[in-house]
Amino acid sequence: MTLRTALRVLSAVAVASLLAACQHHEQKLVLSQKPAVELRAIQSRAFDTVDRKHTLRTVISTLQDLGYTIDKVEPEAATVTGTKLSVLRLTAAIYPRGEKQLIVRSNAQVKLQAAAMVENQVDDPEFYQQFFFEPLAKAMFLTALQIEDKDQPPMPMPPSAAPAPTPASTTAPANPPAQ
Amino acid sequence: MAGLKLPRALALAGALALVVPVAGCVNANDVAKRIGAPPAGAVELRALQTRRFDTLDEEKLLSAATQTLQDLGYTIAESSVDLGVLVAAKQRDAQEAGQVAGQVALMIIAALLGSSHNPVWDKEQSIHVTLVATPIKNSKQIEVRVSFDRHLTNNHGQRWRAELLLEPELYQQFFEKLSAGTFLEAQSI
Repeated sequence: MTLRTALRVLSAVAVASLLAACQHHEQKLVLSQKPAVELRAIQSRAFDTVDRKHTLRTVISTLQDLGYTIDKVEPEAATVTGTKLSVLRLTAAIYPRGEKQLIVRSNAQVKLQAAAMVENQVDDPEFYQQFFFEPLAKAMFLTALQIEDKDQPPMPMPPSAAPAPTPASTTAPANPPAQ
Repeated sequence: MAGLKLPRALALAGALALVVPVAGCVNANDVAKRIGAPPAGAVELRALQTRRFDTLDEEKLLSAATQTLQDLGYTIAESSVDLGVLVAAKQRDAQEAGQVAGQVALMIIAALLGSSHNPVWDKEQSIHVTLVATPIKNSKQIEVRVSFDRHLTNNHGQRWRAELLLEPELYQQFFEKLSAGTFLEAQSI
């Protein structure tokens, strides 16, 4: 009995010293290795609505429903950032796609432990679909539509310039999105 | 008998201390899917965290909520009337004598065994509140959902644990104070 307990303590110490190798000390972000186009498809969905504020409110309440704490909201830019249990951080941005749709793009990062200095980008399609877009679609009462790969991302606008028509909104073919 | 009890308790404490670092060796996507899953008992949780108020004045409700949180000692971290969002936090001491003693004992035993143990205990906690107000379509009510969670910082100044607070009294107390502040009745859903 005593030998077993001693062995248990010893093995715990051995495991602890092994685990020390997993600790990191520099703050850094490990980005996904997937191609940008694939990542965009994983992280984005289109919705048949143009009500940006309502969509942002729905994103916020969905995050709260999923157990996130809201860190930052920006109504003008239509972005929100939430954190779940100090470990999982998710940012969502909403922008128009053509005249009749909005795109919700989310991006999640994970700290592998609450005290870790390294954040890893989440690139698992299942995570975004199951734990963000599905609950969001339910709350929106709308279908989350997969976006086509050939769609252009929105062009960044110079901050002072008047909102000129971007190539994305004028030349993008009016494809019916894949259901 | 006593000689047996102590190492056993230590093995247990050691195992508990290992739970957090073990997460350091797993894949980010797996952690995201584990943490990102909806909380268990989502329906009960929603009922606990949500009340409805007979008003259409979202701004007034949010300003009353701000004052309620300030009365409770919170500082406001983020607020947007446009979106009905209010986020606040407060710091509190989380040190418990039992936990500190256990960790120091573990350090001494580790030293006797020729190894080292870095004692870790809860030092401070910050409590975060997220409040979201949503006007209910086709009605004259606003729904307020509030969630409290706490983040524990250890004696090395690292954030190492976080959990959702589920005590009904906490939510009850908050909504009672908010009702008093708005002169409106908080209705359960």
